[in-house]
Order: sequence, then structure tokens, then C-alpha cells
Amino acid sequence: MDAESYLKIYPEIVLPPEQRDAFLKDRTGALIGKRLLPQFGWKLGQNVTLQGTIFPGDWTFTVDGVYTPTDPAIGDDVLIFHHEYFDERIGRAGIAGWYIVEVDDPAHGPAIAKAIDDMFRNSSAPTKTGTEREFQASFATMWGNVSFLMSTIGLAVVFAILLVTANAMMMSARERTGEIAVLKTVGFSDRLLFGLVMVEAGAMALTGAVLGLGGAKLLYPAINFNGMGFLPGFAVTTSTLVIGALVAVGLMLASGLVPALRAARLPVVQALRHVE
Amino acid sequence: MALVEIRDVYKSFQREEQRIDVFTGLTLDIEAGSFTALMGPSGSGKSTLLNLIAGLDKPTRGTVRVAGAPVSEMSPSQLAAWRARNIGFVFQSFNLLPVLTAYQNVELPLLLTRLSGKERTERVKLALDVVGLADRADHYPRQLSGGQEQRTAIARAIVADPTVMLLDEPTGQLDARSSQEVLTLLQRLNSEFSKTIVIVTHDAHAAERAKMILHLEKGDLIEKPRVAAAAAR
Ligand SMILES: Nc1ncnc2c1ncn2[C@@H]1O[C@H](COP(=O)(O)OP(=O)(O)O)[C@@H](O)[C@H]1O
Ligand SMILES: [Mg+2]
Repeated sequence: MDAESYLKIYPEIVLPPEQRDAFLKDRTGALIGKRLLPQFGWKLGQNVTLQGTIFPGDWTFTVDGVYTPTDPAIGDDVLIFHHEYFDERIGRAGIAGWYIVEVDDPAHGPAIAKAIDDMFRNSSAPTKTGTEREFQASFATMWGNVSFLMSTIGLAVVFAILLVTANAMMMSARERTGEIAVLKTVGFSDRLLFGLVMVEAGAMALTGAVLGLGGAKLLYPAINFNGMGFLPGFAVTTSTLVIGALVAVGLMLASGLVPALRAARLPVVQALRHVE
Repeated sequence: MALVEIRDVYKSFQREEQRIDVFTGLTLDIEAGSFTALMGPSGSGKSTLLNLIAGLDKPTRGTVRVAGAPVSEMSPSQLAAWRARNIGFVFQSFNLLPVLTAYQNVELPLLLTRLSGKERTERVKLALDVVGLADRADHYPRQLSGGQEQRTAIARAIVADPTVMLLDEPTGQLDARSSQEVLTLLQRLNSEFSKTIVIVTHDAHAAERAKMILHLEKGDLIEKPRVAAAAAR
């Protein structure tokens, strides 16, 4: 961002004056929100190197200042640096992602927004002007949509797995009509057979859960997964593991119950007539 | 008192609109230590009779007692436990679980008892030895011949030292030589080990090996002592 005007337009970004001056003078300097200090173990005055993803390469900054926002909407986990430095490195000067415009009276907002958009309507880079709240809301809905999409996909996958396991269990139960009849003839009780089928479903679910959850837990850190930069701090948390394990138990109950009941209730005489 | 007492047993099956009366007042005694062959045309109720003795099915009316136990009155869970100790059953085919070895198949009934691992091992080895399959213990059913499979099933039927052995056409799918082996084995189990045996068979030659032949005809019993049957031919 353009340091001087940005800090002027955001009085919510509060930091000691000497840090502010140091930052304004330092072309490769950066301001960081106070949360980043403990999060990454950074110190004031330190050089930090970030790895670019959308803009690849190593980006080195000097931490010239640490700010404390007076409004939570600003966020205390942001690293701010000079637009000039970015332009130099990227080699395409003067292109901005967004402009922040301060209006004298909120009542004039809509008219000013319209005037700006009209001004650039036929340019190579038309604008879309809105209030700051609308702007933030558009980000939030974008993330909202993504997480909704993710949960939908997740649910669909769980449902598909349920169908597959239930079907596999049903098929093996049908194929095993004869075996179940033999076990009953030998003296295995209905309750024991119910238990055996449930244990089998449980073993299947457990194997799946250990492989799947354990694999995710090991794999993501191993490949340093962060969703191409879109999911910074992505990790398989304990709560995710717990949810996964619960889903596995649910799958076991759902896929094991019907075949287990069927095994328990199977009349031997009927089963034998089908076999022979 | 006979070992198996069947008293005034009625058994009918309902198939859609039709009612099939298999037994209408059947009474029969089977003595301890006997070796009985049950013959009769298909559908005459031979399998149904074995199922009633084993408590796999219940009579519509009448009572079945085995060694004093009121089989026809017991609950499903009582029957399961009772069967594990008192009945050795062999079907015509599909007796063995394909994922288990011969040894493990024979061990199945013992898993329901309180025997220790060592006692179980001894019993399974003895049973496999009696049927002449000690060297096949680790074979899976698909690695056994039809005759060996049936002998494994017989080993399982004797391993828990049951009160009665019931065999439903055990030689029905075997060639002549394997059939002879199985029948010789059964004769030996009856004479040497005093096992009470009831065998269902279509084969008159097989029936000759028994001490007593019973004919089931439309739910009625016609008793023919073995000698008489032999003389009739
Ligand atoms: N579970 C059943 N449901 C309906 N009918 C049956 C059932 N079991 C046996 N039956 C009928 O009872 C009769 C006797 O059957 P079964 O005892 O199997 O004869 P067998 O073994 O002598 O050939 C047959 O008519 C058969 O169709
Ligand atoms: Mg039959």
C-alpha cells in the first residue's frame, strides 16, 4: 500500500511515532499486527523472509513497526509493506488492486461511488465502488461459499461411502447365508452372530479411520499443504480427528446394523433350503 | 426311555395359500447307541425330521425330547447352547467355512465351551485323527476333496462329543469310493465309540450299513429291520 496515505486514512492502526517514521523511510520495511509477534516469533527490527506463492520468490522485509488496531475490523494479523517495493520486484508499476476513498459525509457515499465508477466505466480497468462494509462482506461471502462447498462435498463423500460400505456388508451377508446357517447349527447364538457381524463392520470402519485420519495427519504437514496460499495455517486438528472418528463409528453402526440383524434373525431351516 | 423321543408330532408349512402337512401325529423312538438310516422319496419330510430333532425347527404340535431335554419347548438361545453340546450335524454340502482351515472348522463348536486352549487342541487333533485327516489340519476347504470335506464335517460333528449325530444325505455329492469311506467311518464311530447316529440317504446300499432302516412315506413311518430289507432285494 501507499504508506503515508494509508496510515492517514486508517487512524485505527496505532503504533509509536518513531516506528512509524522508520517504516516510512525504509523502502523494504514492513508493519506487522501485534499478533504476528508471538505467532511467528518475530521481533521488532528483525528481517523476515516470506515465500511468495501468487508472486513467487523470497520477499524479505524489515519489521520496522508493530501496530495495535483500535478496531477489530482492521485485524491484528496483517503484514503491511510498501507498494513501491512490490512494483519494483514485479516490474509493472502503477497497478493497484483497490483504492480507498475517504468521503466527507457518509450521505454522499452512493453519489461519489457512482461518479467514480462512471469515470472508469470505459477504461481498461473498470471499477466497482462500494462501502468498506460491502467490500469486507464480499470477502466473507466468498469464504462462506467456499466452506459451504467444502462441507457439502464432505457430506456427499460420507454419504457415498455409507452406500458403498452398506452395500458391501449386505452383499457379504447374502453370500454368507450358508456360513451363518452352519454357525447357528454348530451352536452359535443369534446374539453372538449379531456381535460378530458388528465387530467385523467395526474393524472395517476402524481400519478405514486409522488409514484415512492417520494418513491426513501425516501427509499434510509432510507436503506443507496450505491450499496454494489460500489456506494459510491449514492443519489437521484434534477436533477434526475426533469428528472423523465419530463419522467412522457412525458409518460402522449404519453399515453393520442391518446385516447384523439379518444374521441374527436368519432362520437356519430357511437358509439351508436356499443353499441346497 | 429312548434317547430321542418324538411324540405325536405335527408339522405343517404354510406356502402362500397352500398348507403342507408334513407330519400328522408322528411318534418315533431312537435308542442310544443305534445307527438308523432314514429313507424315503424327496419331500417326504426327512430333513424336516432331522431339523426337529436338532431344534433347528419347531413342531406345530407335539413334543421332541433328546436325552430328556424338551427340545421343542426351549427358547432360541437355550437351543443354541444345547445344540453346541448335544448335536453333531452334517449337511450334504457347504458344511465348512471357506476362510477357515480344516483345524479351525473342527474347532468351532469348542469355541463355545469353557475348554482351555490346550484341551481344545487335543480334542481337535483327536477328532481329525479319528476321521483320518490329521495331516490335512492346515488345509483350506478348497484344498480338500469332497470326501475329505465331509470327513472334516464329521470330525466337527464329533469333536464336542455330542449326544446324537445327525447327517442329512452326507454322501449325496460324493463318488462311490468317498461314500464308502464316509460310511465305513460312521459304522466305526457307532461300533467303536458308541455314537448314536441318524443318517438320511437316498442310496439303498448306504442304508445297508445302518443297523436299522426307517422309511418315510407321506409323513408316515414304515420300519424295516436291516435284515428284512436285505432279504427283500
Ligand atoms: N421352510 C419350509 N417352507 C415351506 N415348505 C417347506 C419348508 N421346509 C420343508 N418344506 C416342505 O415340506 C416337505 C418336506 O420337506 P423336506 O423335509 O425337506 O423333505 P425331504 O428332506 O424328505 O426331501 C416338502 O414338501 C417341502 O417342500
Ligand atoms: Mg432333504
